[in-house]
Amino acid sequence: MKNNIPLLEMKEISKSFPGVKALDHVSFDLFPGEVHVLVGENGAGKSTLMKVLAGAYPKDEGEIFIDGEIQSRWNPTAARAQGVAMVYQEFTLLPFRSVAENIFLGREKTIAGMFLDKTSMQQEAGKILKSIGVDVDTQKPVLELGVAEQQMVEIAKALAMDARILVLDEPTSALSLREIEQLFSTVATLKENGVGIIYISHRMEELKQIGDRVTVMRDGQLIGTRKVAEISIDEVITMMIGREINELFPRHHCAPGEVALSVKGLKSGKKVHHVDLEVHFGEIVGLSGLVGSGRTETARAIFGLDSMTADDFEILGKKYKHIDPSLAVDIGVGLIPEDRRRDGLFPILSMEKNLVMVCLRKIFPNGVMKPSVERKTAKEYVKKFDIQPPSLERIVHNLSGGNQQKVVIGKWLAAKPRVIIIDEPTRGIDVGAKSEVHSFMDQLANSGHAILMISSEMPEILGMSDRIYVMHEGRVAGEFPQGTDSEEILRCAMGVK
Amino acid sequence: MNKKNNHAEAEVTEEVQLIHEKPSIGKVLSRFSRLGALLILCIGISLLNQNFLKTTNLINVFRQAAPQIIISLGMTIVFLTGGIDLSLGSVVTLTSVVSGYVLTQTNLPWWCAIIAAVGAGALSGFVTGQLIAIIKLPPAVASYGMLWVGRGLAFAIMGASPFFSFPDTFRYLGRGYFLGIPMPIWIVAIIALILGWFLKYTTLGRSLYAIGANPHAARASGIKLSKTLVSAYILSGMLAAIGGIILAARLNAVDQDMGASFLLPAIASPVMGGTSMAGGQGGVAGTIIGSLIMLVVTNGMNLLGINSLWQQLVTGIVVVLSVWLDVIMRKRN
Ligand SMILES: Nc1ncnc2c1ncn2[C@@H]1O[C@H](COP(=O)(O)OP(=O)(O)OP(=O)(O)O)[C@@H](O)[C@H]1O
Ligand SMILES: [Mg+2]
Repeated sequence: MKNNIPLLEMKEISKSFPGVKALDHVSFDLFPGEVHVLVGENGAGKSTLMKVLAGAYPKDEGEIFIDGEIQSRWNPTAARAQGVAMVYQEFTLLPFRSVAENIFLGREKTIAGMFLDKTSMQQEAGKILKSIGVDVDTQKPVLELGVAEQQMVEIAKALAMDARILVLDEPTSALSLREIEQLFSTVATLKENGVGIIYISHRMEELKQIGDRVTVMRDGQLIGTRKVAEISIDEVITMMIGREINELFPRHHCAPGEVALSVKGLKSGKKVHHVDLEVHFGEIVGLSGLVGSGRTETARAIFGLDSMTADDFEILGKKYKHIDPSLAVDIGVGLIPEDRRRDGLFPILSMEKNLVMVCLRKIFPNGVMKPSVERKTAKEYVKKFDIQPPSLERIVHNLSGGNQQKVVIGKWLAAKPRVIIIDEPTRGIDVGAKSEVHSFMDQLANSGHAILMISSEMPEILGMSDRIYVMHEGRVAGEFPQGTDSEEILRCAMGVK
Repeated sequence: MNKKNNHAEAEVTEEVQLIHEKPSIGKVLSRFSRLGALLILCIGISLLNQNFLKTTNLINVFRQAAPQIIISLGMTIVFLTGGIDLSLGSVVTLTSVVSGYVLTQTNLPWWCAIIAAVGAGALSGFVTGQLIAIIKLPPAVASYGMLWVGRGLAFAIMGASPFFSFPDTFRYLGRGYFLGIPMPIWIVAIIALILGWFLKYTTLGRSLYAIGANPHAARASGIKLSKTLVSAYILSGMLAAIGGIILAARLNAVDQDMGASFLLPAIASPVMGGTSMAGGQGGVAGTIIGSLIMLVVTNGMNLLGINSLWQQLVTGIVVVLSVWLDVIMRKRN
């Protein structure tokens, strides 16, 4: 806080959606060269506050000041003109356009004001991406990128705007350690240049790493703003959810049973070269590795989403040559996919329809649905994961990011698979709900399910897994027992022997 | 997971408190906006011309509307999956020609004509569906190809001379009355009920919405994409065939161009009824109202003696206006 006049001041902002008061007189400020972390449970109103800041939602009440001056007309254009850049929680990239086109969307460089200057856009895009340590072909359509790469492109797009106020809404939920480090060093540089950064995350440890101040929200209200140096993480969590959480990783290990899933010599696409792995009933097996090491692609291949070949492929005691998702569902395999928006959600359909989409053919084998049964099933999972607001008719698109994640998890568990592959189980989910999801996984494993868990969060891998496979460049590079330390796993993931 | 859980534990209740959101005024309005538009239109026309509201005229409008409504329902199914079927008009021609052929050129009983026509509709839908699902042609391209194939086949079957004078039992489907109500209206009602039930209460119906809402997620949820898509096109082909049969029965003749004029209204009606061409949204009731709006406008203009040049202009304006109204209503939610 080198300066007395805040770069940004939002005063008493209120915003309602039909039936929900998403923001209730929330005040927030930001100084140049500061990282202000915003935390709160799923559905607390964090993203909504930021969308008001970006002008994407009109505010019902309240005022916005930039450099101490009141802004009477606030809309996306004004926000951009004042140097506000957003990295939204949901991706906003156009799938069929190239990386460079996306980065310069709406601000295309032209020659003589008429022709697109593709070369210079590509060069510049490449430069920005390199500065945050990403190596992707800027001519590739976004469609072909993994989630982590998409996230980095989103960040590059915001950086390309030369923002004074940069909002990062859960940027790290899709990233692994290496990218996160890169992102943090970029943030440090921006800070030095006097950019104010608003940072939203459910990863509490990040608070201490980069935060200067932290603001806690709950149920659309401001709970308080503190200096990070003067508050402990436990205190922040208590402010967030109004109580302490019991156990971070509630894994009760039990003796593994029969082999549930076994693959040998699995190959698929360009990213999976040779994977051998085995998961037993009653086991949670962690699959670790850097982004791009082929973990997600392995999961997709096992589930039949991508084509694959294998020397030996056995699920629940039966061998298969080919598999496709509908066969996988029938024999009791579930994949909670990494790219939840693309492969998990039907954004324009209601929560109820989303929740029963996978189990539909199981609970109504003759193809005729009973609304009461459908409703009961949906209700059960709304309750199990405490999806907020618990309104079955609500269009999933209008749920907060974390609650959308819960819908995807609920939808899969409703189909009661016996072999569960779960890619980033707690991505975007708040700390309270996180321990809830973890204890649910623990129960599932101990009641005889087989779980293969992909995670970029080292504590999650270490805390939840009975066994850990580490992937490196499309191969399983090592297998470790529970209790291995993170150094060793990281070394293996980087390919260091 | 949050404070609400603590209460729940204290009460030891098993029930979740679901919120039943009251639909906002905007939502209710938009739900009934189309019906309202139809009513206002009817009132307006009846003020200008007393004949409009006479039962005979209304029944007549509805009877003439029947094939158009049924064909539009077929298009609705395809729209739900995010596709489009440009061949429907030519499927109408083809299937009515097939039924005409069976009726006049063979000694088979009249119901064989119906089976043959519906079969031809299903087959052409099957082929279009396969082109889309297996060969992965864009729906517009695949069905455009089918449009010409259907036309060509119709020509080939018919040769130079049109088929006419069908047996009375067959003509009953287009001209007859049952309990004082024309047969075409009965047929529309039965189809609408079955289709409405199918879309709402069967897993296949639900899968159609799912594919339109997000095909990637649909596949990842274990829905068989190709099978579902193909069945959508088969259904729409069969509905076009039923439309063709009613038309042939009413006109008592078939010729090579009878289906073409149904295509564009079949695209406009679902859209006017709130079915999104992008897929995943819409249904039977909206499409019926959408078709009726278009037909009432045409009938009204006929009654008022407006010249046909202006009629086309007005029809265009009505289509654009009603879709615009719908978009605004949706935005407000
Ligand atoms: N477009 C919308 N229409 C209706 N309600 C909405 C809409 N967007 C958000 N909400 C509601 O507003 C509340 C706040 O949502 P918001 O997305 O701001 O939460 P969040 O704090 O970002 O949560 P998360 O950590 O899950 O991302 C939620 O109850 C949500 O359901
Ligand atoms: Mg959010």
